[in-house]
Order: sequence, then C-alpha cells, then structure tokens
Amino acid sequence: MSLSHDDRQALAISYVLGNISSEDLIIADALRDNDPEFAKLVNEIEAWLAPLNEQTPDKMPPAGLFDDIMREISPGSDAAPLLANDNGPGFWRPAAIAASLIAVAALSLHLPSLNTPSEPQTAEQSQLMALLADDSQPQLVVIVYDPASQKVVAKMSNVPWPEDGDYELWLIRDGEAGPQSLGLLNIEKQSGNDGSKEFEFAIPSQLNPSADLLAVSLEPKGGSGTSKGPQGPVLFTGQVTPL
Amino acid sequence: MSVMMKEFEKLKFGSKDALAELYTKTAPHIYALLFRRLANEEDAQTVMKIVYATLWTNCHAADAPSNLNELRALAHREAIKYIVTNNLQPQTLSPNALTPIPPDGLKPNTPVNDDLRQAYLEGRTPPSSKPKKSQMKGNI
Repeated sequence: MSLSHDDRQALAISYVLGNISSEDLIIADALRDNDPEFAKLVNEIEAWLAPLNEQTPDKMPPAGLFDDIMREISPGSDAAPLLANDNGPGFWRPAAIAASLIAVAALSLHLPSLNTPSEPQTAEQSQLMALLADDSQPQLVVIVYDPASQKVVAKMSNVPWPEDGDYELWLIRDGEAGPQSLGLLNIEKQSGNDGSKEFEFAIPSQLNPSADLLAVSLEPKGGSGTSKGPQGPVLFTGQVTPL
Repeated sequence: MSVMMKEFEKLKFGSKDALAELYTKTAPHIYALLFRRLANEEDAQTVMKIVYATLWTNCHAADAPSNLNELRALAHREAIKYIVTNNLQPQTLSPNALTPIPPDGLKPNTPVNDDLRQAYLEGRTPPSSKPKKSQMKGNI
C-alpha cells in the first residue's frame, strides 16, 4: 500500500471531510498515527478549515449529558487513568471507555512512528500492514508488523469474542507447502488491560510484503491441533502490504 | 478563548474540575458542530459522549487537545468516524470540495470554496453542485 503524493492528499481531504469508506478510514487513522508527514498534512487541512466552525451558532446540549459522561468515564474513581508510557513500542492509547461508546469502534493504531522521508527505509525495515476482512463489513482485523522488533500488533474491530475457542493467526506464503501458525490472538496476548481486543506479540517469521497473506481462523482453545494448518473456519484473510 | 488554556493544562494532570469547566465552556459550541454535521440530536449526544470521554481518557497523552481548535478537530474526527462506521451519510461530494489544494500547496490564506465549506460543515455540497441528470451515467 504505497500511496503517491496525490493519493495521500486525496485521502487526507476525504478523511477530514468524511467522504471516505470504512476501510480507508482505518488506513487514514493508521497513517495519521504512524506517519508524521500524513499527520502534518491532516493537521494543516484541519487548521485551514477550522475557522469555518466559528460561524456555527452555539447550541445547548441537553441537561444531564455531562453527568452521563462522568458516569461512563469514572464510575468509581476520582482520578484520570495514568499512562505508563505514551511513546514506547506497541503502546496503545487506552481508549476503552470511548470505544465502548462507539457502535462500531474505529481503529486507531499507536505504534512507533515511521521514519521520515529524509531517513530512507529499506524493504526489510519498513513496517508492514495487513487489513483482514470478511464479506460483512464492518468486522475488521488490522495487523501491523514491525520488522525491527519482529512483533505484530493486531486490533480486532467488532469481532465477537469466542466463548469456547481462540483466534489463531496464520501466515500463508507463496511457494510454501502450507500455512504457518504465527500464534494465538487470545487473552494472554492482549496488550491492554482495558478489555479491548488488541494484541501484541512476537512472531517466528519475518513477513514479506506482497508475497505473504495473513489469515485468522477460529480454533478450539489452545489453537489448531495440527501443524498442517487451521482446523476451524478461516474468518479473515488479508495481503501483507507496506504501510 | 485563551482563558481556556488553563483548563486544558489542568486537565493534563487529571483534574475532573478542569474537565467540568471545559465542558461548561465548550459544550454548546462542540454540540452545535456535531449537530450540524450529524443532523440528529441522538447521534450528536452519542458523539458528545465519545468526544469528552476521549478527552478525559487521553488527557495525559502528548497529542491530547490543548486548545479549542484541537478539541474541535477531535470532535470533527469523531463525528466522521461515527458517520462512516454507522453508514449514516453516504456521500457524493462535488469535485470542487474534493480537490481544494492548489498545485503549489496549502497556505493559511488559500480560499475555501462554497462546496468545501458545506462539505466540511454539513457533509454535503450545495444542490447546485450536483451533476445534472444529463451528465449522469445512464441518464442520457
């Protein structure tokens, strides 16, 4: 997924205006959080258009709305959540409270920033991304791979949690005999303690853009019982592409 | 509006009082923006909750809103996410709204055309910008 200058500009404008598909929204969110140049472009467009808001006359929200918000965000605590580290690898902004209010959570990736264009990247260094979806949007799985740490960060959106099973991540590589398990997306690997479906873990193989396909299957607890591939249904697949 | 900077600063330290003060001062404006974009009281209230919950949850983050413009941008982004993920306003915007950046780049004084103004504020373009029937594919 390498975007030209014009494509990035068009994506940024569509992102700010809202004339955007749910898939492109996820991509734009990921770019905004990981690509400083794209974030700068979005910020410039937002700053340019922001004065238009001044002309909108105020409108009072209903009484009691703030009480509702306070009940939602801090049912038993007087303190805001403390963040251990806002810059470290794999850090995810703990937006569980906000996400719980969204019917279909929009995805927001918070990974180490991409290098700027002045620091050329090799293919081996570039972060890679796979967008996995089934036929019935908006269920989505976004996986970002960082070659430096050989870790993936996966975020599942609107995907129900299996009561009696685990999701398993698979690598399907051109030329290989069969799928290779990259690990389980289960509670032990959840990177946040806020109940959101975010997972961070190291994988045993380097991913290659374009040559690799990722898949997520629903398996019995503990994963597929065979090394040959999924036993359960494959729910999501997606091509690995440069972020 | 600079008087609000103090509340934004206090909010970074997790002050609920600051959140309450910010809500009092900004809610009528933010709610108006959301209502204009969403055109529905219930949806506007839902996104209001998301915006101020996000403001609180992310209050320690380096990129947390620190002024009214950034709070507006957060509200606008959350409204867009809500619209797109709930498929509320499938749009066809005019090319004038979608290609507003001149070849030599965006500058603060780059003019905002009417189509872009309405697309940004209301998620649509003026009726006059819609393609005429004779120009639409399959309607010749």
